[in-house]
Amino acid sequence: MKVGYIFVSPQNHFMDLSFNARYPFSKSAREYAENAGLELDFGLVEKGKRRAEDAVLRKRIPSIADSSFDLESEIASYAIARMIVSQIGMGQAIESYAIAEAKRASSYLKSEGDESLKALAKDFGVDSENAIPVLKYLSYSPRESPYKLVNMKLADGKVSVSKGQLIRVLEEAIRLRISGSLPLKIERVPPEIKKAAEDIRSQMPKPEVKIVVSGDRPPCVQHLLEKLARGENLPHAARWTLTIYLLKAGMKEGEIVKLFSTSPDYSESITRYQVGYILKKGYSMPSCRLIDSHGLCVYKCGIRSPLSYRGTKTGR
Amino acid sequence: MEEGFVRARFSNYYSRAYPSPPPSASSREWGFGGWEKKIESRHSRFNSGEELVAYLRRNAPLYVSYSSAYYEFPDARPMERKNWLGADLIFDIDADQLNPPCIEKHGKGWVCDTCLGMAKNETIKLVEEFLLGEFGFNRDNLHLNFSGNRGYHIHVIDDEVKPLTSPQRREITDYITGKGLEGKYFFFERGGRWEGPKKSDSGWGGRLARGFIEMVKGKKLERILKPSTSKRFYKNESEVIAGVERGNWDVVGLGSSHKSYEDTWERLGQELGVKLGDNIDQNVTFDTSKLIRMPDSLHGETGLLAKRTSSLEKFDPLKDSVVFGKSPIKLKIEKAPEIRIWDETFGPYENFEGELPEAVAVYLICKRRAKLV
Repeated sequence: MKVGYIFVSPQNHFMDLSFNARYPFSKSAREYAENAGLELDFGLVEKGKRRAEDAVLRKRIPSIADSSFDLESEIASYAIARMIVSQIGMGQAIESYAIAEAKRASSYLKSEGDESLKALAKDFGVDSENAIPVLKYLSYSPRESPYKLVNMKLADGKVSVSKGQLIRVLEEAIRLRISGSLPLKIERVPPEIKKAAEDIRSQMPKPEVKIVVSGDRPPCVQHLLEKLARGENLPHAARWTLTIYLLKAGMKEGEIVKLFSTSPDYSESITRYQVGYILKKGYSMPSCRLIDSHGLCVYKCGIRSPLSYRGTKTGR
Repeated sequence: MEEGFVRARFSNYYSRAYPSPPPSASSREWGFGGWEKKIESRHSRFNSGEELVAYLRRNAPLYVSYSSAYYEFPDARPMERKNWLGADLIFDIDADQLNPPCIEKHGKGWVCDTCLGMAKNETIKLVEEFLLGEFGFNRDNLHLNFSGNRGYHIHVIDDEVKPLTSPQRREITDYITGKGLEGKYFFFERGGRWEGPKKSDSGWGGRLARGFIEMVKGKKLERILKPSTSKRFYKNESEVIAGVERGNWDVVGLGSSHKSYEDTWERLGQELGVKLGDNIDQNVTFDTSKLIRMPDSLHGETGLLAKRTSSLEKFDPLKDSVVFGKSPIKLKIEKAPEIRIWDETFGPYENFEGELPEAVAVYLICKRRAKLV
């Protein structure tokens, strides 16, 4: 079945084909794909499905070398994987997919020469490989203390970065571009795509921990638990708040670690370390005001700390 | 009686003045306050600047505020239905946050030349050093005004800052206040030597080096170090300064025990950063649905204008923001600290009854320190 266009030979003004295959989310790859064409045959759907599966179920997309040298179908598989992931219809699948794509790209970037690195940076509006415009930096920098703006060199609106830092920032930018562009709205979804999506969905792990929806937890905490249950990616401040609350509410460290297993970027060892760290440091519960300022307050309960929430168990 | 007096004065002012509305006034949410509350009503919208001015003339509100945010439907409720389109970046410098020494004399909520001067210097530091120098904002996009009470507001109106999210804005305030600064990212060992930022470095590195040198020179190290350590540095002053200027922190002897200095850098960061107050004060910057005083509107707690200014150095809030006149008003004052208006000092008062110029009377009545007779 034909879904639009057929690949034609690459034109000169595109980045070379192998660049586009490594970075299929780049503007140059998109331009390439638009000018080329793509016939949706069984082989391509299979390839796209494998890509989606690797990302969503195994959290890792193998690099080109260990799967195929067919660069055009590599780009096509990205386009197809996006259609499939969109059809799975779960936030968790999109997040996992975006993370795996970003990690895959980042592994290429690490061995990239200056020119390609520069070209990809430019794709995200970063004109120099050692300085990033500060507002761009704020959108893409990971929320980790070494990347905190106050610990970086900032002058004339530009943040100085090392090659390693630039790659990490680009990885985040890639993740955001991909997750922000999904799900795709496709009018008539080919049955092969639907079937592939259904297949992956059925293999996705069910949340290990049953999250009890009850009225005795503060609405903000409840909201975060529900998001977690749906496999959504919680921002740092949300994880932090939730962990402190659950520790204070008497939940065991191990149980909390398990709770986060539905996160699209879940790593048991990192989660264990972070929960342990919070426990060790004995952080106090953030106030409602602080929680509100992080945009996590969902209901004005009229209390000062989630810990003083007394619930709706009785009466109503 | 006092409320009526103030309202009449405000009404009179708005009938002769034409305060220029902010850009995109029709995409903003407006709020107004009265005698009891700074914001009594909000979720208002105006289709044009003229409509807004007409409203001010008709109602003479004691406080006029608008959202730093732009919305598709500024008057929709609840907030989510407004459809947020972006927001200006706002900073609020308030004399009370600076712990001025004069607070002991006149208490919180009052002002004098000392604390207003401190607020002005802090604002200049924020603008020149941080917003222009480091963040590289365009001077034309920075709009400054007196808050009308105890400090200054800075509005960054720039298409590029509009989409910033709340956590991204918090990164900016953390940078400006030096919060989250960690020494380990500035100091490191190289070839057996302990290196750190030098005087000429950009950003926080250079600021730490310069700040440290200043503290050695000014004998103020005790603010960030133990007295015994501070004394040791004072003794070797010239050597310490020469080393730090070049980024050689070995002379300071930090090398072996750098871990124990982690708190020191955080404290130095807080000393050198801009004082934006606590989380609640900083809310105006990262809460993108906050309302902010309209520049060139009257402030109901002082009767002073939240006056726009483009040359902060020469600006005198207790002169340039005074809009009322000198006609005598009869007042009774139980107790009030002294206040300068124009070039004249009034008070302190205790059990005073007599006539004072209109502008002074409005100020004292708005501050709830005086009653009409």
